Amino acid sequence: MTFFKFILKRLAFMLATLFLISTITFLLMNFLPGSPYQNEEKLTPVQRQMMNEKYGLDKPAGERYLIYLSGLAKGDLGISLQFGNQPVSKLLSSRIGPSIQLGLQAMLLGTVAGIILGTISAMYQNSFIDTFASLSAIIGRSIPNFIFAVLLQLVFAVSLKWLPIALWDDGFRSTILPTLALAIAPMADAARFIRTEMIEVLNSDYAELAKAKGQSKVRIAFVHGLRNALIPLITIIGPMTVGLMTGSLVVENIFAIPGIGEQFVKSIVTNDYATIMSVTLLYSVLLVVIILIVDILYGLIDPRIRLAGAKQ
Amino acid sequence: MSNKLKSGMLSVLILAFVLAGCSSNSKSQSEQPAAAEKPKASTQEPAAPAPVSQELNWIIAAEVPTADSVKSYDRVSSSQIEIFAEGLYKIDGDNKTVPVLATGDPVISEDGLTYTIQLRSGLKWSNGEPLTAKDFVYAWKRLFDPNTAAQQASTYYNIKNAQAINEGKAALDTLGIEAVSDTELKVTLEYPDTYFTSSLTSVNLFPQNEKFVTEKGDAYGSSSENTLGNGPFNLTNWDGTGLTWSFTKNEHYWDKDNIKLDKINIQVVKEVGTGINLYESGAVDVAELSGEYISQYINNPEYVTVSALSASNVELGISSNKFLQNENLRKALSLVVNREELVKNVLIDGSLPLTGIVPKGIAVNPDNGTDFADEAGVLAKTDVEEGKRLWELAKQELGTDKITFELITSDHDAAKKTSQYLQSQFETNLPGLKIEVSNVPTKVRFEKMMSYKFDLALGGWTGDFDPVSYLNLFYSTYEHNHAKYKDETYDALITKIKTEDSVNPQQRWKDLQEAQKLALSKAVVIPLYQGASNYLIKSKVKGVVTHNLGTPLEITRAYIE
Repeated sequence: MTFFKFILKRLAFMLATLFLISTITFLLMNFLPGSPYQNEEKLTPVQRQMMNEKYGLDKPAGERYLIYLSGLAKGDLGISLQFGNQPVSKLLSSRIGPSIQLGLQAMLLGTVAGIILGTISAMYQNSFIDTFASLSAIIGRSIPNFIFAVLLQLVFAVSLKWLPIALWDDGFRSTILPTLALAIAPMADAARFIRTEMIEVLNSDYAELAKAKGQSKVRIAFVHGLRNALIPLITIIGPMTVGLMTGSLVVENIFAIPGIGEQFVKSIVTNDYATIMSVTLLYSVLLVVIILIVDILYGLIDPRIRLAGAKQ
Repeated sequence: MSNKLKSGMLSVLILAFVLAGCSSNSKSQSEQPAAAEKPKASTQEPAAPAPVSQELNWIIAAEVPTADSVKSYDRVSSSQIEIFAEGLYKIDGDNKTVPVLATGDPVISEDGLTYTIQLRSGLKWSNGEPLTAKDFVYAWKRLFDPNTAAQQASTYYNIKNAQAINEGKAALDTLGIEAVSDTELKVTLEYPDTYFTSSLTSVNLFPQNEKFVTEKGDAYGSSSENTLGNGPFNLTNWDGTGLTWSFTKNEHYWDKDNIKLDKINIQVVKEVGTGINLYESGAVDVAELSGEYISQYINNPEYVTVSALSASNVELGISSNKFLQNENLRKALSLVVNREELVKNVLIDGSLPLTGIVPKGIAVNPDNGTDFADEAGVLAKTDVEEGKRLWELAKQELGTDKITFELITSDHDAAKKTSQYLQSQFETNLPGLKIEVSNVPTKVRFEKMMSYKFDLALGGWTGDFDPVSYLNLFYSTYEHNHAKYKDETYDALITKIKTEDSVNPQQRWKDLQEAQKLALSKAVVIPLYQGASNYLIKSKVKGVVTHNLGTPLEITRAYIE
């Protein structure tokens, strides 16, 4: 029952958060210079005025916001002036798939690889393996992913011809290189976090006890240690996943993937108001949902962490 | 709960999450047109014995905003519309206007106001329905209907009542177009226009099928199912926002015997490097080049450069900065810019130095066919010594030793490079001048220019078929006269060109040249360069036509050898 209450309360907070975010975005959007018309240098003042009336842009910001909200309540995200007045919902639904797939694949690959790397580092602290793993984590974190994308493309597609150079037409094979490019950062992050936590865990009394009982190093680390070392990682995994699922402008462009990442920049540059609102809301919805899931996960991973209100 | 149970739940949760993601993807993946898969097989292993597959794999740099010819306002959509639709005339490889759906040149009345155009008989839409003069009437009315909100409408205000209709002040039926019969169109103009026939090549004036457009309503032109054409090919597999689509041969096209390609596969590739990698691997037959790639490929036999009809200039905020009102100062600025050096050593992208207001390739002398820019010669000269002299003079006249200008430019690569080059040229050659460069998003730069408050701005202009569309930029009351320059002689000349010269092409030509000379003798703008598009095209692909006007590469008559 308390769990149910907790969820309800959180949902209410989530709605309030989303409302705040959309209001602030709408406000900020009004400060963008220029109009959403891509051909504005050829529009006469009368034409511009008439188009503003047609798209409701002549109304004061407050009124426009109310119209937007009432449309949103009916599931209408508005139209994209960048894409010939097509509904933004169509743009999002046709573009979000590839981004989510790549994001989740990269997240899964990155965290699993990072956890393994981090744990091994911790197990052999200050050894050659540790130095090597830490170094690769630092390199992975400091080099931007488009450099990796271009490198991967050159090595595995152009030179070795193992995988497609780009394009989204070869099923899973098309996803391999972009996934690798995107996975580097989460891998590096996960490895760093896990290493730090794991070193602490492995020095704890219960790890010593397990060792005294004659358990193998690997078993101590992965079976006893990992669960305790995961908590901080879980915290960063949420926002990271959202970032990955909403696509990456450069990686999508380098591999010519029909994803949504580009719209986070392009909608702003082109003053495509409805698209700006929609991608911002999409990001926010994913973020608040993931944060909720993460909070629930805490409790599952470590029962000592009680849900809010559970003590009452 | 036991530990096992909990970790079990955890893994189920994670799994569910991953699976949910996967299922939504596999759906979107299957929605992807399968088209692009085939080209690879056909290009990587060219079938030797059988006749060559007439399938072209083409890449373009951006999505198509709309396939609705009336609403199209950008190069990308018009380049694609021209593949599946056709108008009365088109531009050929020599920049000449030639009839396509029309049977010949229009018959123009004495006063230059009425155009009578005969259409081919037996024309059909790609769905087999007959295409008649009425389809033009419908499309044109739709173009000016305020409800359509077509962004390009004002370009065609020379058609009778077009502006009034577009501004909601006149009824649609008063538009100057009439279907005399199924194959005869009569167009009436507001004022005579020498270049009207050329403007009939624009996609905005293509015909539209009333029944089909009305049936689709707002969705018209938003996907291949919602679009109807009459051109050499049919648009297929386009979902409106996607990165791939294709064209298949239109069996109802009047000139289908001269169409050799069976299929064109289009792929949007935004990253130039990726396009080149795909090109080198043989997966695609074209790649667009930019920046450093151009110098890398410039000697490759497959390299093609097409100069664009766009002028890049330093615009001067004459009305907002009192220093810029000094003519010697303006001249000094223009004289110290070495345009040759700018295009050859800084931009290195196939651009041409621009020494007039009107770029090369726009219009030719009605008497002898000489290009407007060639005939004008070098109007914006480079002479650093003279520039320095005028600069000192200007400083004396203005009674100051130190002047600071802000140079506002867009934030793309070419603009940044150009602004740095200009800054060094101005500051090294003109002692006491300080240039503060500010690279901002294009919308910001544009808004500054439109508020007429700026010092120097790196601007550009793409006009149309008529040199006056460039010269108009310095007409005192034109809203894109960003300098707010006012010269009564110049205004009178432009008015004359637009009115009484309309029926006298020779005089008009002279006056156009005169106007350009006059404006540059006062250094109202600093011309810099004329842009270019650069490509690699596989040598096996023949019959690609290049255009300065409109779409740089026309592929409808291409074939593979």
